Amino acid sequence: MRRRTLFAVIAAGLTVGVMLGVTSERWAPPTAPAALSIFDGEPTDEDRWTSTNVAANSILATRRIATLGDTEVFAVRSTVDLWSGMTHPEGVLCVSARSPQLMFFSTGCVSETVFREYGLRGVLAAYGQPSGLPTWRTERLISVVWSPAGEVTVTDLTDEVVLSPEELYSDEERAAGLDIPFIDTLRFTGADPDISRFVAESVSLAELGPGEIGRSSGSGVTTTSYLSVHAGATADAERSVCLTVRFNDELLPPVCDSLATFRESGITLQLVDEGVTVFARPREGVGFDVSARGTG
Amino acid sequence: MSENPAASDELSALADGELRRIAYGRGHADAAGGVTREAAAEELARRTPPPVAPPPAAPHSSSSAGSAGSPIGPGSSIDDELADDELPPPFWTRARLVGAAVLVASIAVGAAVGVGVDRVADALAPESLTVFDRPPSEIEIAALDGADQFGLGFGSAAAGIELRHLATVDEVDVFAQLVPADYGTPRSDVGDQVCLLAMAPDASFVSPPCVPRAVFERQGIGGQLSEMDTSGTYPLADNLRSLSIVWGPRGGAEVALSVAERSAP
Repeated sequence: MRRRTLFAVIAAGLTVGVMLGVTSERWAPPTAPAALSIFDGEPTDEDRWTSTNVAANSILATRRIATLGDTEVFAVRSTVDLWSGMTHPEGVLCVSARSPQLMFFSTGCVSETVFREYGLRGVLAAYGQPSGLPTWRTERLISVVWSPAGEVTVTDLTDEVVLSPEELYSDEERAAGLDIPFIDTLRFTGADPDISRFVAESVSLAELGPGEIGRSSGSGVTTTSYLSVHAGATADAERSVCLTVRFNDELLPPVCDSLATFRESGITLQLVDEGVTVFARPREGVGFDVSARGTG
Repeated sequence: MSENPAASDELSALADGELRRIAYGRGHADAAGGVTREAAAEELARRTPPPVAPPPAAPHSSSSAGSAGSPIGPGSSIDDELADDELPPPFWTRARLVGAAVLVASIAVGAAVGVGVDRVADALAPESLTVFDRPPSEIEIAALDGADQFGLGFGSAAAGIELRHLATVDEVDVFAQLVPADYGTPRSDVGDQVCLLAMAPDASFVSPPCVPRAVFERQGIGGQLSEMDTSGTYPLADNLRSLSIVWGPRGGAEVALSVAERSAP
């Protein structure tokens, strides 16, 4: 073979090879979804996972794919996206988890077609719910990579990613109560002009608010609650928090307490004559209790 | 079967090679002193014994049997001559075999280099979040206002939210959002977050969950942007779109469109 021909053959081969190599991800057939073979056969007791958010018959199959400390991670085949609640009759794949005392949110789900090519990458975030309501403080953060070939990588990123309250709020912000969601909300809701004048006449000009933090109605009662933060008399004095309630159509005088007390137990306004208790509590939210109504 | 005795003698005197040159050579209609192509061919045919079928191999015949005694066995001189000189040359000549091997090897080496280049290119692709380094376009500013107005994704540039366009598929614009930790209440205790948002005329999409920026920088974000059925009727519309997206931590977004196949109730 002549040298010139040999070089031409080599050049042609290299060109074709490089083009094939560079575009291999595009033309290569989807890999066999080895990962999905875990759904073959009968599940064991350890594979069973149930959701409190979607109908049981939406869950087609579950398998435990990893454990991380006391957290079990499950692959879920479902007709409902466990994150969004959107229905997908053709079926989607998701990852969820469970752990004692924690409430986990599932990853977003992907279609089987997407899974065959890219697998699933997601985040599992867990919150505590000591009193039945989530605290919205991230107690655990786990990243999940589930490859089409079946490899599962779960990594606890809690310590690396989750910020402590001290990191999240400066001392000044904590002193202003901004680490309390109800008060932080006031930065966005702004002040109601009519309520502002009313509160200013009764207490003082508010530092934050008064802004609406909730409406409740039922049993012939309608309440609208407003919260405001007021600076102390001196620069060192602690701030106070006031709850102003519009009870049906009547605007009631503000009830105030120290920021420390509000942080601990919230504010409660008792309408003895009406048998109604209106409350705004950092952990439980805002609402009213009419259990004493008509019994007094 | 030459009728000329002199020519017959001459034919007999010629070597096989010379006869082949006369019989099959180019440009010599009558060469070598009156020996014609036909006569040379006939003489060659006469000298060449007819092919004989090889005897069946003995069950335990030694490998040297053919070369030792059989005139037509593999390795015999006649066989070699037939293969080398008289039968048409095989397609896979040595040169072609070498060429094919070089070609295959070149393709293999090239493919390996190509895959490597692809991997290196992926690894060296700019970090996906650099999309937020450039100023927002007018379309992106309008989209952020729209998100704020219609409660889609996260709105309000005043709150420090950034929005950038990633792709357009089937008239659906896909955007990335970078949401600061202090947006919303309570603040995000996982820091800044990377989110996805899809917007289209007369359609709304549900976004996949946001991921903390720290997680995005490790593994990117992926998920589905599912069109919501806003018809208010049942059964659900059968042409709802779903965008599958994979983005980051490096390079651009890969977005694929599918139409949901809703089963009848």
